[in-house]
Amino acid sequence: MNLRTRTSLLLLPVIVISYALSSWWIYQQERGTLLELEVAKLEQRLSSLHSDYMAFRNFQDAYLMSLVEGDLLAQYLSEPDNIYRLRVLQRHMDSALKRQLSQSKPYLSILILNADNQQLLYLENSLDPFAEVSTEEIQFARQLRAEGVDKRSSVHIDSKEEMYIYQAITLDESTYKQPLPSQLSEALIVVVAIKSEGLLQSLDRLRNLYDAEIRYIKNNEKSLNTAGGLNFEFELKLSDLDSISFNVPRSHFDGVLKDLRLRMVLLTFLFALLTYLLLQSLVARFITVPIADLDSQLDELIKNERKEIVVAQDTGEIGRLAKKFQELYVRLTNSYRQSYKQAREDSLTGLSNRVAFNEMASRLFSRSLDIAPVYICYIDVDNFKYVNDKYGHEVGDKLLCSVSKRLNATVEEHNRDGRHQVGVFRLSGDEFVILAADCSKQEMTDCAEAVLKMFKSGFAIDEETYPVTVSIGLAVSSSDLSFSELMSNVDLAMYQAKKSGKNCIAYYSEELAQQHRRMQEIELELKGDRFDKELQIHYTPIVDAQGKLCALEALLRWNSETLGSVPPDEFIPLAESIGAFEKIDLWVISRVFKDFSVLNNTLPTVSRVSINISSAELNSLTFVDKLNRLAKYYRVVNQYYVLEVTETFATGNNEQVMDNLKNIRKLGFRTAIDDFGTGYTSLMQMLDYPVDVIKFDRSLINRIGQKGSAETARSLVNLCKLQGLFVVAEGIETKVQSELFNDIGCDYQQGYFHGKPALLESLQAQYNPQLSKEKIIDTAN
Amino acid sequence: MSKNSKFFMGCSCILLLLISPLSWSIEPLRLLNWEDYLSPELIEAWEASNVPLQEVYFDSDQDRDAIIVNSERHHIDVVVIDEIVAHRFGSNGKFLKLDETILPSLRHIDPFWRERCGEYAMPYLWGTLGIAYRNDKLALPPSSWADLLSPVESVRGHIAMLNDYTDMLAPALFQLGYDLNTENRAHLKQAFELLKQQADSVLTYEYALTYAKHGDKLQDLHMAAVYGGDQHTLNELDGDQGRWEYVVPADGTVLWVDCLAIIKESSKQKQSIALLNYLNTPSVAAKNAVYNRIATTNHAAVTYMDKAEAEELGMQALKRLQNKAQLYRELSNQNVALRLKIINAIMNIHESKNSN
Repeated sequence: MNLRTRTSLLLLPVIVISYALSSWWIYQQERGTLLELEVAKLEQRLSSLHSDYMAFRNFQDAYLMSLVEGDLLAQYLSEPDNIYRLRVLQRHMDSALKRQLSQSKPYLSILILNADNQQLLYLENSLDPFAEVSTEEIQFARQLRAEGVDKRSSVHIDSKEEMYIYQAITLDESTYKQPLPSQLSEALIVVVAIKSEGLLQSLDRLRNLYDAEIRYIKNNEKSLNTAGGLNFEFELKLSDLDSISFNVPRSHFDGVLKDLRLRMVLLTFLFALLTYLLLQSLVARFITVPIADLDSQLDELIKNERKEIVVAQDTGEIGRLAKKFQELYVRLTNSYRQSYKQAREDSLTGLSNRVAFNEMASRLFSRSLDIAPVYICYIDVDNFKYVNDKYGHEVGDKLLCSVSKRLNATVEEHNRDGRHQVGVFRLSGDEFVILAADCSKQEMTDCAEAVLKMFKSGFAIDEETYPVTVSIGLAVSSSDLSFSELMSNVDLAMYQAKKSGKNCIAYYSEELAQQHRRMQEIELELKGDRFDKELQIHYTPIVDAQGKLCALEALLRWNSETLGSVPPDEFIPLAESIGAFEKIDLWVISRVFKDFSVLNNTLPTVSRVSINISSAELNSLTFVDKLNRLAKYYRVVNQYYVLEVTETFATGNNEQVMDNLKNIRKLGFRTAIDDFGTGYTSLMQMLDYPVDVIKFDRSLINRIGQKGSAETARSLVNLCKLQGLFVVAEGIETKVQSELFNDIGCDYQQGYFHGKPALLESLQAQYNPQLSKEKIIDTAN
Repeated sequence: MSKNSKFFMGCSCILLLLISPLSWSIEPLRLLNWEDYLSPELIEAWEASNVPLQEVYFDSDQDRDAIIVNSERHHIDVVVIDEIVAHRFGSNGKFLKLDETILPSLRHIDPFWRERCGEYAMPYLWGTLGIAYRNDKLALPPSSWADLLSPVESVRGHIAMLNDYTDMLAPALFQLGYDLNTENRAHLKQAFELLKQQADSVLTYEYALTYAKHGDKLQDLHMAAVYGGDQHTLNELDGDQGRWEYVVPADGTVLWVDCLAIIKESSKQKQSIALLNYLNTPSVAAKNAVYNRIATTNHAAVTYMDKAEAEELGMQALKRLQNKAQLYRELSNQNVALRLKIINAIMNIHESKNSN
């Protein structure tokens, strides 16, 4: 329900009730007045009627008076037989009637009775010359005498509803004057009758008009008021004895009041309606319409169809309300903008955050990617953790801020003309993204290289340089790529850059993707149950200075049914990264332990067997126990085995590594550092570790193989020997190399020159063919 | 009651006393008469050797009767009356008794007439009751009183009736074949009904001659109940075109006679008697009859007329008429009272209809 409807619904009953109450009050006030007025009107009508009636009476009186006083009657009575006297009377009657009454049918009669009540004269001016005096009139006259009254008036209504007024006097028969009381019985009685025309008809009309009841009261009988006080009674005095009672029932006035009520109801309704319409239009004009206008403006604001509320030139509440809404709206808008900004801005660096990145990306992705490819440059700060750890978080934060600032600057530098849609975002920690569209791959690459360049010689802040670089992945959208796929691609490229030694740019390519997919497949296989069955142990021969087989290195070979031959350097790091290394290590260890007696029997010159274990094992709390249990299970001679780890173990928990190394040695196993020369571990550091063997890596061998390095190498070997370590040279492929390392005092050598890794059976066949055959027979048995 | 009048110029008021300036010092003799019912020439002749004669005019029986009743007040000496009045007032002692000793000229009057006027009055002029009509308005002369009471369309609303309580009823009673003087209420009632139904067609109940004197109203009048001789007056008033004719309907008429009487209380009885004697002198009576164009009761007067005059006046028709005509009789008071009521009612009815 809108305001206007509600206002209407509220106004209407209030107006109707107040008008109704007012009307009721006025009605109560006016009712009495109206009744009085009605009664007065009726009285006036009746009085008018009575006046008409009295005109007849007065005429009658005057006529009678003229008869008596003017001697006409006396003359007639003195000569009753003189017809001329009669004619005089008749003419007198005619002229009196014509003079006084203008009725169409005048009626006047005179009756004279003598002392014996005999009719002396009956003269009537009617249209019926044969008319006789009525018995009522005679009776009236006789009654007068009987009652000894000297004069009287009365009214008679005949069967035709005609009203006759009788007026009687008595005359002394000799003097023709009023008789003395004693002479009454002898007196003449003169009755003048006149017809009061119209009175009854008028009364009848009034009766119909007022629903009245008319009663004739004869001889002054007391009226019985049948309706009690509920009626209005009016009396018309007709004569000495007669009157008319005019009873108007109260219900008639109720009818009048009903009319009044009806009129008042109608007026009330009319006025209420007018007032309602007026009020409604005023309320609409000054209240509801401005509010509805404000409401619709607010609606439009909410729908963003308008920017502000237009405040009408109104200083009233609605105007102020509109102003307040406007203020509130501005405040809310600002607050919204702020929070909108906050939600999209990284609080530390002021760069846009991941939310903003996603928004921009989805905006760009909504366009046609064929026309406007989207570039993503994924930047990860290398070694940031190191800075954080070493210099503290404050410096780390400062570094991030600075990186952000310079990233922005660089991007702006490359987008000076503002042609490109480009944005710099900080996604998390030390990860940044440059998102760009409307630019070429070259421009993007240039920009990425400029970023890389910023870290060329570390990153300097406030004259301090921090050893951080960046790994940058680059990828471009294509129409068949979703945003998340593009993100995976660029992520992959960035990790590729990381993997490629950091501080470089890697472009996403199909090869990269294939490589990645292969890694994923390997990983899948590593986790699968076929993996154990597809593994094999190959042994590489290790020879002494005389070239005589004296030891073996067990190497893991994986011939996957689906992937083919997978080299260890492909799947071992992966296994390490997914935590599958222990399983593999223990499998290798138990496999080699299993070969112990065969080796011992078939290749008696072999006094040592090396097993590569993941350097991560050195951080394990359980590895030594497991190793011990396996050794006991296979009942091997622990001194027979050398456990090799790469120098990368040095990056782990040093104490744990040392403990594990010591415990391994306590069990009787020997330890070796494999691939020495590839890492950053210094020789001196290496010497502190409890190891028995140093294995020089192939790259080191190659370097030493160059002329001029031999002496350094010799010193290195001597140093190791002085420490009681055996030195093994790996990757010896030529006779020159073999002789060189023999020359500088290397204890043992291995490599293709001395024999390729092979299955145990092959080695047996190679180094002890005879034995080997027997063995075969034995095992066959 | 019948009477004639010749001229009617002047006032129709009840009383108009014309006093001669010459006789200012001498009390004149007063004659209550219809207007112009006595030759001025004769008056002149009378006054040459007698007291002045002053005429007091009336134009209706009622007026006359009212004056006679109070005659002493009006100083009336001689009155022209009808035969019934002569008897009524005579017997009431109102008039001086007349006989040949004081009025020798009575010998010139037929006993028939002397009986009509009685011993208190001297017969004067006589006539019939009939219908005057415009010969240009009626195709045929009226032959019956019915022609007057139920008139043809052309004359409806153009009829004058007499307002006398006897003569108004007379045509109806004649048509009904009843006695003019009937005392029978039923007869009178029938007559009343006839008159009542006629009332629509009646122009006036005023005496036709009286009515005719009101300017040019005469043109509205086509038929009237009149006394014989009135047609002459009507023709005179109509410009002597001879359009008015008189007829006595076959179903009845009445022989009327006017009489002269002397008021008993008159202080000029001698002069009054002289006037009567003068008027009844045959030569005077003849002159008066010819002047009035009405027959005189003085049979000796014929000798003073030429034959044509006598013929026109109908002096010779008396014998014939005496056989078929009815005569007025004195009516009982009761009858008169009833008749008075009847004419009163008729006139009221007529008046009420006209006023509608």
